[in-house]
Amino acid sequence: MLQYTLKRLLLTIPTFFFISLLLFLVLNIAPGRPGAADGGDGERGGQEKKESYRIFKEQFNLDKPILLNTRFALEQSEVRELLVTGYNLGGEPTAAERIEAQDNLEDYGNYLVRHLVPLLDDSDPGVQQVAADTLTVATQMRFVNERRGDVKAAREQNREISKKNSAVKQWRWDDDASEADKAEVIDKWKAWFAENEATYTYTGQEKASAFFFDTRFAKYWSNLIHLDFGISTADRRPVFETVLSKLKYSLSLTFTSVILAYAISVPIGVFSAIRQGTKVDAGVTIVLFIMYSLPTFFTGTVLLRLLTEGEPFAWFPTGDFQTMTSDPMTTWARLKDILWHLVLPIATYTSVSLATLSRYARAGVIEVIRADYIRTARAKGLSEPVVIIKHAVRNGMIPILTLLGGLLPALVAGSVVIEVVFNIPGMGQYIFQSINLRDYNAVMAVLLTSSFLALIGILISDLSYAFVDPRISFD
Amino acid sequence: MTSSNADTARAAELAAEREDPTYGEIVWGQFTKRKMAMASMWGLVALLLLAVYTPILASNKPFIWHTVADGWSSPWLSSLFDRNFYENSVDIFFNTLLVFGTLVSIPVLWVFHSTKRLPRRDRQPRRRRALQIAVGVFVVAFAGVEAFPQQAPKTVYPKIEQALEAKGEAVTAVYAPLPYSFRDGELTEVRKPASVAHPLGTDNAGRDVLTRLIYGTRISLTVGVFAVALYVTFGTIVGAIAGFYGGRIDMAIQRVIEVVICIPSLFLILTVASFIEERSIFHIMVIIAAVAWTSPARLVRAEFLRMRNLDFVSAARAVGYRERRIIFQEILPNALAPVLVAATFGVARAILVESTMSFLGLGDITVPSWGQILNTGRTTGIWTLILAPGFAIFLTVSLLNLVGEGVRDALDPKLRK
Amino acid sequence: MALLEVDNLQTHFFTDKGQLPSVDGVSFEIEKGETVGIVGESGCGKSVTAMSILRLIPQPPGRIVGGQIRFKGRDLATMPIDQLRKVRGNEISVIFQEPMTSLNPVYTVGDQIMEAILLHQAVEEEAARSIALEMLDKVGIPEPVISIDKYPHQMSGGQKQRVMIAMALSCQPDLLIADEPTTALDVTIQAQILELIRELQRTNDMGVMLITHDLGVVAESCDKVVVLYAGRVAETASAVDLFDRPTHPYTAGLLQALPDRANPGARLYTIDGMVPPPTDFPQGCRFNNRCPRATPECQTVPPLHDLGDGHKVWCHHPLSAEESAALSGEDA
Repeated sequence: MLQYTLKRLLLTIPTFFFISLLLFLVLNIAPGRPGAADGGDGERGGQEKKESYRIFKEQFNLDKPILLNTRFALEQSEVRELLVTGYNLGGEPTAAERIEAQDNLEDYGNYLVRHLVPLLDDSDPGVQQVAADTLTVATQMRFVNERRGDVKAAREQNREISKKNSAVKQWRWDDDASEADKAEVIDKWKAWFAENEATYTYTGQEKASAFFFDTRFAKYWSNLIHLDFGISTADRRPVFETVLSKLKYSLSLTFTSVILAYAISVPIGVFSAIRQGTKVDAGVTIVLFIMYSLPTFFTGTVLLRLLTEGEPFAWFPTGDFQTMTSDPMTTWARLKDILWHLVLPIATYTSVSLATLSRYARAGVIEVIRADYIRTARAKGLSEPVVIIKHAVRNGMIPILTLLGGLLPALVAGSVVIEVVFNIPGMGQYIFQSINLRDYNAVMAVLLTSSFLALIGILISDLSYAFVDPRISFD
Repeated sequence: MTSSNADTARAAELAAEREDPTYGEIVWGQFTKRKMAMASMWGLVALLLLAVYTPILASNKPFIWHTVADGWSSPWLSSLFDRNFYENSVDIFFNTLLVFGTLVSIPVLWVFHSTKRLPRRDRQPRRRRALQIAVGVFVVAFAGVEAFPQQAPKTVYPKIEQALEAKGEAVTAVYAPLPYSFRDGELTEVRKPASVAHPLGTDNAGRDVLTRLIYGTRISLTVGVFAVALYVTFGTIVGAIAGFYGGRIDMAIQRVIEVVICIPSLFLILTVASFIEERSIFHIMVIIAAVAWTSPARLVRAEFLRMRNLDFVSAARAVGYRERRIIFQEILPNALAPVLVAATFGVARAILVESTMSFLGLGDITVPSWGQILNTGRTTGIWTLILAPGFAIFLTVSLLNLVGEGVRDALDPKLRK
Repeated sequence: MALLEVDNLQTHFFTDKGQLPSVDGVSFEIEKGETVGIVGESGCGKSVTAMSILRLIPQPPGRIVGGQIRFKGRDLATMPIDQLRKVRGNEISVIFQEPMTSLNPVYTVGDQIMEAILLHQAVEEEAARSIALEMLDKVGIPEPVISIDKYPHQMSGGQKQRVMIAMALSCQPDLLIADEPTTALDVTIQAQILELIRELQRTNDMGVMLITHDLGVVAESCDKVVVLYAGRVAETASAVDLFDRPTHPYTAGLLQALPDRANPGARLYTIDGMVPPPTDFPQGCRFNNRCPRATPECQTVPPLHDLGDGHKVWCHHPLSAEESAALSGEDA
């Protein structure tokens, strides 16, 4: 048994790796430009959007190549090509080609520097100008991740970087600049480059390291291991903390729902099975069937409208997890308040899983009751309740335990509807809002967290199945 | 007294003439013996007919139009394939069914009826041929309609009629029972309660609710059936490969399935849906299929694992059949029983998913999906907009579930009647 | 007074196809220490008879509609259920045909044996466990101390049947009902199980009701035989008498059909036709559509002929002494 548990635990690691890989691939087909939900186009709030997009790009390293990095092998002629195409200095590029070149220039960043400096002496003054422009961007240094390691030292470093970056940003000229100004800027660059050349020439080791590790995928994994999901574009706070804070709401909902569902469905299933064929059984089956066929958003909406706003009843609050007051409440009072708020959401949330489980429980017990060993149990003289509970139910419930594994991901996903309808600040509502805001950091974080939880849930379900049914062998 | 050889031969002859039922016929026979299942099936047929013949019930183009200036015409007929009026391919598809399907079904039904008494050997090929020709005609018609889209100017006939009558001109116009468009509303008719003219009232954009509800049937049925067809096919093939070959291939596929199952499906569906700027029904079907294929894959895999060691497979190998033939022609027909059941339930689930997506605003916004109508009801507080689509979804899902259960019981040898 | 007296037992099944008289007037007796074999083809009602004794028939379709089942003088057919439960597993035990499915897969073998002991006897768990160990040893399970904690799926068919026997005999019942205990087992195991039952019967002076369709088993193990056909008794006799002097044409047919009675290379004898289903029982003597000796008179219920020494036959045209001697004489 222990061996089996260990084996399964070990298997979850590669499974989670593949889950994150799949989500990574999904993320990469996301269209760019988050903050498009800010509405409007282009100019208004353009700077804001560019900034938030840059954060997004940086967090997910979208400026880096996906898997393997060969940018250290760029040739000077290629760089010149990019400048010419991107800034329309010749060759009549199409709009698409221009945009692609511009994106590449933006993305290649550091790797361009050692080629750009020589281009400051290019024969074409246009090329010189755009080379300088590009240098101002390409030499911008990245900020150190303040969320990791020594925060204070990181902040110090970032202040330094900020200073250097703003200084370098000035070293360019406009179209109407004089030759003298131009020469001045070019000299500044050359001086600067002489100082910093080492940083921009790459040793063999640096090249190899860049090849594998300066990529999107590598950075993604490194972030994951450090549990760094980045900042939310919506509220500029670390996403992981937000997700964790929302988790407790969702979990309390899901947890309660599962327990309720199992607690109610087993007796109903057994009861129906014993009374198979009677009117009571038929009635129960019909009710369960209706519960099973009603969409949750419908049930939720109807309950919400019917029982909360006073048309006709106002038994329950119109949503939320708890009453927001600043008055201090005792723990007990708070608990009651929360429960009062959660009755309708839990009722809606549980209805479908309850119906499903009850039917399976009923079918399971019906099948078991016909078994030979039930007859043996009766032949031994055991009373009917003992026969049913000790022998029949024990066997009949095994199949619904396996359902738990499939139920959990479905429940987690279903929380979206419940939380949106009842305004509960859980993960479901969070991911929905984040999707609408194109806050992909948050979306990824929720996807990864919920997948991980589902994985654990499936693991528990499998293990409990093996625990309950001795026929499962572990070798 | 013992039987003689002559007796045995005679018995065999009689057995052959009697035409023992095929497996399919047995299952169908079992299905027909279950009243609930049969009734639900007819319910679904009714829904399908409703979806196909929707324009006859609700359209603001008159069947017959006559003015002194224009003469006689049937705007309704010409609107059926008008891309300006019916923008969505789904509508065009159903309209093609309406016209060509109806035309073609008459000879097909005649063939079926006239071959009823023939022995199976003659009956089957004829019926199959008839169906093939019918499907072929339909496909050609649909392709033609899609390839040469009609575009007529947008004329709102009721308005023209009003204007002409105001001027005192004679206008003859015969409309469908619900003379409304499902897309454009009258801003003067916003939020009207239920009445004879509008049996379910109007919504916040002045559109007739019942009309939108009926057109919504097309969306739900299409998404349900096609999404399921897509993922059942894919899942079956994957499951068959996993179950048949076993070993490493099976382990790899199982890992993939595990990975997909772990990710909460609705989260993923909503995320991917948000990536697409202009979502269409097609996108939604593919997204739903991409997440749901694991279920039939597991079922088929289990069946294949069970069956590949059975004698009939060894026999097929011994005769020299190639693997592909063994998989698809020997084992697969036997493995399809649970898949059929899962597919029926799958349609119900797909409809629920699609309506959830529309409810959350991440479905196809251009079509009158039931979920979307319900969401409008939720935000505006109009009860008919909540109850009507909710009931529609409930009805469709219930019918599908009942049929699914009927199929499951019909396939279960222990429940033979 | 015999240990068990079955008197005109009638167990019918009420289904959509009508009321099926599966057991329709069966009477026989079992004495203490006696092994009585209930014989017949599939569908003749022998299992139903056996299950009726402890009212183990599934109640919705089945019901005892008539007759008495007197066990030590008390009528089991009408006894209140809680009293009957005290008899079950305690004074009368059953072992079933399918050892593979007759044990609960989620409990250990030991648990299941101890369950019966703890229920009927006023002992502590410790004591129950040692009784269980003893029983396992008696039935020939190797290493009882280890086996007692094994699960059914870890044992072979023969071992499971032994466990069933251990469970059945753990409370020292006075009567053991064995419903085709060896049909699902290999021939070699079959012999061992039968031997085991015989041995335990001797030590406990237990009555045994042995249901079987195998005449070989009957010959080997039974003192008395009851031949059932279509829910009724055709013939009752001591085992010796049955094989020496088969009197009912059905019995005669069964014996004639035994392969060892045929000449080598000769065609095997078969009784014409098939056992009728309970929906289709013939009128009068139920064998009348297959019997070579049938006459129009056989359309009425056959009378009882008591041939003495417990040999009874219900037939209009029973075989005469010479005829039956001729049959068995082939065997010398």
